[in-house]
Amino acid sequence: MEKQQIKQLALSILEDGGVSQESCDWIINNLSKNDLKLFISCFRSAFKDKNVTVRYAGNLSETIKEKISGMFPGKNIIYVLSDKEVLAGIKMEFGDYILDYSVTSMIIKILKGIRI
Amino acid sequence: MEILTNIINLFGLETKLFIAQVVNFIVLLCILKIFLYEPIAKTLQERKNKIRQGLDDAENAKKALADAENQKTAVLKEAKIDAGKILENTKISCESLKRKSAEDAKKQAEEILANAQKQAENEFEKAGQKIGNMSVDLSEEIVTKILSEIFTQEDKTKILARAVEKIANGGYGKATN
Repeated sequence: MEKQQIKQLALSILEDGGVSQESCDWIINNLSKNDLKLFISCFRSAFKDKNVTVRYAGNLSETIKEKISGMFPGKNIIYVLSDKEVLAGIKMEFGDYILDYSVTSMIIKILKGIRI
Repeated sequence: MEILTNIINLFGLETKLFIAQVVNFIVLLCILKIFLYEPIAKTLQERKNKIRQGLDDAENAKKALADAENQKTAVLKEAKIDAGKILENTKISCESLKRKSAEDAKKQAEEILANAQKQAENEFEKAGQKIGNMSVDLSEEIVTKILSEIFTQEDKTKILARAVEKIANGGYGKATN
């Protein structure tokens, strides 16, 4: 299968709402090992482009959700409660970017500065 | 002449007999000379020569022995001198070799010590770094754990709201994944 076709396949599956059992079986039976690797890479990349993952700690009010939606128009926003990962604050992942405004990242930054 | 004849007659000498005896004597002398005297003289002369030869040989042998003895003494003396020289040289070489070996061993020991010291310093530095990093990791864990206990739900919500506000106003730094 050609690279463009695999990319298109990944995009269409994502637009359909994800990988179903049927499409999964088809992919496994019809794609070679290298094609499968490429498909996963394209799917992951397309997923990142289409979606924004928001990890937070505490209570997320509707106001805050609206503000976040306003920051990323047309994107699908996935909210993940991660107390341990974030501690307090927020962490947003979209595409190849990360917006990290969490207490954990601040601590790591401070400690990195004093690391030998 | 008559007197002579009378004397001869007095002693009983007969001329013919006398001449015959003289001839007899001469013949006997000749025979004895040829068959007895000359061989004996020859034998005696040979023996004399042999004896002289033997004596000469003994004399020569004695001389040769004396020469050999002298030579032997001279060679032994020379060998002794040479042996002495060789021993002296060997002693000197031995001493210098001993000294050089001691110096080399000392140098090697110093090098080993210096290397060991350097290695120990490196290891110490590495250990220090490792301990430093471990203590930072530990501190990170401790601080995270403590803060997770300290922050209440209310605090977390407040911080979250403030963070979103800041992001919305553009006060953030992006990092790539």
